[in-house]
Amino acid sequence: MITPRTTIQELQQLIANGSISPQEVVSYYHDRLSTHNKTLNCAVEVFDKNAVTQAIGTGPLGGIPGLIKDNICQKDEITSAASNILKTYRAPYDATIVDRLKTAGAISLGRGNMDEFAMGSSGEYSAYGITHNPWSMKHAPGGSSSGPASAVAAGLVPWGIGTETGGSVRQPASFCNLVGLYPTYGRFSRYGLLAFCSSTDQPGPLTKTVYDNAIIASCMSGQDAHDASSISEAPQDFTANLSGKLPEGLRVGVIKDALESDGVDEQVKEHFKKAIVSLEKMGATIEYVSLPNLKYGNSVYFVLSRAEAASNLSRYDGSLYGSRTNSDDLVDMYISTRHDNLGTEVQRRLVMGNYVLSAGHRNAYYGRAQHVRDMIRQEYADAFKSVDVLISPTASTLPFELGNAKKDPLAMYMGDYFTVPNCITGLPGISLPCGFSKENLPIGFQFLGPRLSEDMLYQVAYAFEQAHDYHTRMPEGFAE
Amino acid sequence: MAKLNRSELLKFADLTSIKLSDQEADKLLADLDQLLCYTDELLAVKLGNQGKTVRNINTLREDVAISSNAQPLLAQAPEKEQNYFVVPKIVDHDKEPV
Repeated sequence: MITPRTTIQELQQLIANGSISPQEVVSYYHDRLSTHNKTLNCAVEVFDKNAVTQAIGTGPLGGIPGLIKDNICQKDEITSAASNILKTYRAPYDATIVDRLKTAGAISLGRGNMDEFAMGSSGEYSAYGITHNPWSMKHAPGGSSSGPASAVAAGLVPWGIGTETGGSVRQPASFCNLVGLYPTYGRFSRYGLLAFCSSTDQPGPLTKTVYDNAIIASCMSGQDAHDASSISEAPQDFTANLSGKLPEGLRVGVIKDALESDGVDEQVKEHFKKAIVSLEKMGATIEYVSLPNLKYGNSVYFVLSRAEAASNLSRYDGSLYGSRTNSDDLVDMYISTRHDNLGTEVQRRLVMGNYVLSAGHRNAYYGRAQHVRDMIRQEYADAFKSVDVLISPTASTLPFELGNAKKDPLAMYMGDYFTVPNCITGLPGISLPCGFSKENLPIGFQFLGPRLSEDMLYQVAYAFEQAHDYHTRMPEGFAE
Repeated sequence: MAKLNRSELLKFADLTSIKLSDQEADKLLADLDQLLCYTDELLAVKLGNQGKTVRNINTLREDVAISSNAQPLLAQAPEKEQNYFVVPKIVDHDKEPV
């Protein structure tokens, strides 16, 4: 009755018509996750089966299990952001989005593995070991939401929640043949997320299909009094307009950089071009758009995100919770605790963050980055006067082999070229599959829209998805 | 723009409450240098004239004290005594000023 391909939409129907019980659903996925986690390492922890079975709730997502990234507070569970510095920290509350999912009846099966403190794009920077891509064990699932992406792609859970600051939901979605959303900044509450880059952090759903993604996003959406940066919009039903057709007269802007840049893999370009042709056949008007300031996106992000991270992570010092390296002196305790328990990539980013914020450098780097961020924001706004959506590949590279990212961190960062600019300007983007490489590795592309256009993005993505069959494919070894 | 030198790096590591071994400092210096060279492109950008395209709005809540149970938080303390988090004292070392 259920297979790894089964979608949330199908599960809802099967449960509603009594064909299967929520207990059977949870048991099926719990068994799969427990078994395959040994090879994929997508969950830092799989919760006890009895405990999750007892926690099954009623509601539209009643009995439908998922995996939540380890930097999102789940009450009474260890929430460690895949870092040793928080390996004993138990969240005293649920993040708002977790609370909303639970209220809808959904069940969390565990803690999704990730790059430590969401700093990474490969799933290799966790204190709990590397996560593998079910499409190819020697390839990265992407990051930093590596665990939830890997688990959903392998059909171990039908939904995952990741977080994104510069690409950490959409890039793993692209690497794993999934749908991933970065919403309008503030669409989803950040209350209960372990902050990394507060001005871009957003949680985001990872699913096999667009409809499933819309279901989870709808549940998560809505203003939250606990999060002053959450936008004053009511919860929205993003499944309402999924007709399977593109909106009449849709104008699609192709970001020219994608086709002209040497930094984009040839196979990625090839499949992206096919997607453009498809959209045209489906009735869209195609325009080619130049966004010259997009190329500064990465630099702006490096500066802003590291500055914010340096501030946000200064609280992890061993005094109130988490790991502590003892010392006779308070300052030594801070230093030793952080040295012993924070990973190298995290330390690298924090030091750079303090550098760009320091006297003498702040205006040069941070001040300028803020200004260039505004220029990019204006460029998008101008583009959206003549097109309804923009499209580009999601990641500029194919999924890379594990081990490569550490050899060349700058190259890893460059892979985020197309996701970073809309993150730093708070605009929504949805990544979905558009093909497979010669080695059968997934390739994704994305629709970007103006603020608050998620409804339209889902409509467009759904139409594209339904006109193809990429979303029906499963990685070998995980299809049964 | 002058690139980061070793003593500056150590100063920023100190500000970040992170200590680096010689080997770690060498590696970080090389990596940061590469990254800073890349972000230097921002220094050359011709800044546009546009003002801020978004206005920041303050969201306020009622100024009401909310009482909550401190026990779950105290339970997490690496070291505690009654209702206090215990940390080492600040020792007056002869530290080189930062």
